[in-house]
Amino acid sequence: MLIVRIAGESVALPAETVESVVEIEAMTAVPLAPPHVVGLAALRSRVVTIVDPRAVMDTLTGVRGAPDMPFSAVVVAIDGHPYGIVVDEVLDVLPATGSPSPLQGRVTGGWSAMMRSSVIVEGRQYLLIDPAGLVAGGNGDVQPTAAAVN
Amino acid sequence: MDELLNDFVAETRETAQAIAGEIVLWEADPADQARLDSIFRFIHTVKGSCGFLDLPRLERLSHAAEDALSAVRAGLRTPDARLVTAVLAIIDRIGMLVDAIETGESVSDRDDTALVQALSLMADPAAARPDAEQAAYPAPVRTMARSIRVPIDLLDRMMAGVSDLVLARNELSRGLRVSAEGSAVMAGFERLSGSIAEMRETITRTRMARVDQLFSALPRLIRDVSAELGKRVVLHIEGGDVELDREMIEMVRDPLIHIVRNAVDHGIEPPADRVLAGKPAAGAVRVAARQSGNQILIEISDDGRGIDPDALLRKAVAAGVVSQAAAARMDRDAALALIFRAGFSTAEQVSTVSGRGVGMDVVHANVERIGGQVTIDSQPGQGLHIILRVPMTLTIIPALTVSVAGQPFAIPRSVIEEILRVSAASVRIERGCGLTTVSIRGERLPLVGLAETLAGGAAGGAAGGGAGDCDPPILVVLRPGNGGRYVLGVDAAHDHEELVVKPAAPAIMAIGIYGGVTMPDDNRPMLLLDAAGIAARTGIDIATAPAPIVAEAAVPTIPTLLFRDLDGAERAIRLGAIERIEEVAGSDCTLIAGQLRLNRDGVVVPLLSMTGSVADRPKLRVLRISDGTERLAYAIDQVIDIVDLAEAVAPAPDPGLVCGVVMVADRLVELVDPYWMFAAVARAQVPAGVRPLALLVAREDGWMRAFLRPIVEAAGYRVAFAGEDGATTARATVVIADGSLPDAGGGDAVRLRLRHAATGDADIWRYDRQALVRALDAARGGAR
Repeated sequence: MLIVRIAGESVALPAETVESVVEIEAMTAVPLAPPHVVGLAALRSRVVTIVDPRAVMDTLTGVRGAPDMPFSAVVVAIDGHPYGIVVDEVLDVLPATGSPSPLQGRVTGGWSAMMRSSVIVEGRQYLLIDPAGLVAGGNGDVQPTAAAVN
Repeated sequence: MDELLNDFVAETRETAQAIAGEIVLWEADPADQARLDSIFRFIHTVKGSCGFLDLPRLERLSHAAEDALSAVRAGLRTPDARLVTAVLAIIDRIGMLVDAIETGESVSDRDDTALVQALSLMADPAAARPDAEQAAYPAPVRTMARSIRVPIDLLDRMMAGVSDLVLARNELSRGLRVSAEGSAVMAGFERLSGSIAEMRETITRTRMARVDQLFSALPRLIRDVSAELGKRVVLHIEGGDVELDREMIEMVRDPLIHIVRNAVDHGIEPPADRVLAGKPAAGAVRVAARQSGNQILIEISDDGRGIDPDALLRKAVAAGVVSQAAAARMDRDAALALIFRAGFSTAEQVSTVSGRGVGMDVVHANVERIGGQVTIDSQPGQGLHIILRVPMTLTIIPALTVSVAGQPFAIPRSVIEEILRVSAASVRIERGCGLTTVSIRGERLPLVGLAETLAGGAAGGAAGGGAGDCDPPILVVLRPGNGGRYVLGVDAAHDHEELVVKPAAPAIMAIGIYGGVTMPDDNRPMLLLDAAGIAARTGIDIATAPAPIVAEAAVPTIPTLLFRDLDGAERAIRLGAIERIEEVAGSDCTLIAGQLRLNRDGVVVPLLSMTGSVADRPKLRVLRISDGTERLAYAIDQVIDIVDLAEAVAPAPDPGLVCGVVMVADRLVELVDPYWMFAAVARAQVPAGVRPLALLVAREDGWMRAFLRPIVEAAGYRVAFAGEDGATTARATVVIADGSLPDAGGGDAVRLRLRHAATGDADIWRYDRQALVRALDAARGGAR
């Protein structure tokens, strides 16, 4: 498990989905993109779509500005596309005890959209981020912009 | 070799090796049903493929093995070592034959029968010793396989790796340019660059496949469709060996099948109709591929009834696709392009094969999405001719970069029709009721401001209406397909580049205005705009936007060659004048008889240049210029580019080697004048004796000799001064005087005036070169 800090909270990312952790220094903005898609960055010859979990987390806070440069991003590949998840800090890589278990009760705010389970790491419970849910804008199956276009 | 056969060979060889191991294990444990099954399946597959590919020998062998094995499977026979040996021998033989297919060698079939017999129950073990017998043959030389199968995924990773190399090289190159200019490191770096470029090219080629793969489905398609419709169609295929990116082949497959199906369904008439029309009863459909530069052209033509543009127009009007007025203004090509409009089928009757109104519009959209184009030409009664133009690889698209608010975007070159400045005289922006249109040479097109669109969200981003709407300085006329056009306003237009475009993440593609993402050399991702998507988003209905009224009265342009002249300046010459460009040695150029001449292989032509120092150069390039009868050469340093330039030229004040100035991008470039060159050479070549005489009568002898004489001589005259060599006015064609005019004899007389004055008399101010030359020319004209 990759333990990262996002918006002040320590959460877990499944390490097997993580390709690398990179420092992003420059980004290309994507006008009209959903709020959580904050830009495009170059990772060697690949173009990485940068998504910011904070934008997904709490839609009440409205659209956040792009994160301050440079920032750390965790690179994951979903359906063949590389995404960079903006994190405050990468804390550690630790083995999980047992397999993830479904969430008991509700998590607050937008966290619910990208968390479906929790995992025990070194005796402590961490919420496990579902990168696919995050990339889909926290709204697993509906992409609001898609409907408007087609 | 045939693609199918190739696949068969590769596949059979691979499985044969694996299966030999299975057989040995099966022998150890004859009860292992799973092993037996997999061996049986292999033999069965080979048999099936052989029948299909018409390989009777292999078929016979595999058939025999299959029979024996199926007896084992049915429990009629127990496997023993003899059987296993016999099956192994057959599999070995299959392997040999397969190798032979690939290398084109022949394998004796002498002991095929023995192999087959070895399988039979009754066979005498001693007789069935193919191994022993085989030893008598020279050991088969296993030639190395000339092709291997590689997963596409691996190729993609290689491609990505090479792209990384290129980026790293670019970065390195920037660093080296500063620190290591001219050093040995630089030479090594150049070599590295070269091999990377070569590698990139090679890997690109590994992704290529023959277009045969695309065409192989067509015979069957034609057969099925024509049978269903009761038509007779002959298919001709050409150019199957043209290569195309594998991915591209997949993208083109559906459009191609659709067009071919349409050709049979709508194009080719029933046999009876064809005979009545004086055509052969069987229709012909021709599919041909060829390469043209970086594009592959796939042409589909038939000899059917074609499409009648007028009928198409009537239908379009009836269906409400275009207005009556718009239809009246459409020319033939515009009418034919209607076939690409959505929801519009040309079939009078809906058939099961096609004609459901989903058709050419989808073809058009699909081809355009991969950066291609579809063009259509119809000869009613004679047939239809459709050309698909697709880039050779999916990933490289020629594009224009534009920018708004400092951010660059790419637009595929294929949808761009024209780039204009707002300040151009023929452009006028008109606003009204929140709708902005641009009038270009009298034609009105809707204007979309890219900045407003990108900032404005879904609520009609058409420029105008907003508070701070200053006009975007650059207008790009786009034709995203379907015949409609609109104008995109941007802050600046930059380069034309070949960009490697990849699809963006789904969340970005879903926005609907981006076609993909690309990584230019500066390592900053750039978005590729989707012209049709922007139109859809801003609410412009491009399908109803006025179709082109003016038949492409774009600014006429002339292809023009830009070159670096010997004096270092950039100059231009109209391409039409140039016969060819060649490199010559400075020693081929000699100044002889008052004229620089180029001697190439014994043929001598006059050589002109901007500077005199031609012969000192070890090498130089010359433009060979011809006026149809005469030839001459013009020395240059190097060729820069060929560009299309407007006809407009700001003329030079005096005729000379440079006849004017043209705009190239934002630079002013001198245009050299082939007319003047020929005129100058031709005058010089007229022998002095036959040149008309100009008699100069001077008060100020020095000025006449130093200033006037060259001009008069350049105009083709022999010059004499009054009082010299018995020069008399009687033989002079023209007399020029700066004082009192002597009797001019039979010729013209010109009196020069010292000062410029607007008097009405016939005197010419002595610095009015044009008037002077005119007078000289007039005089000579009169003398003839």
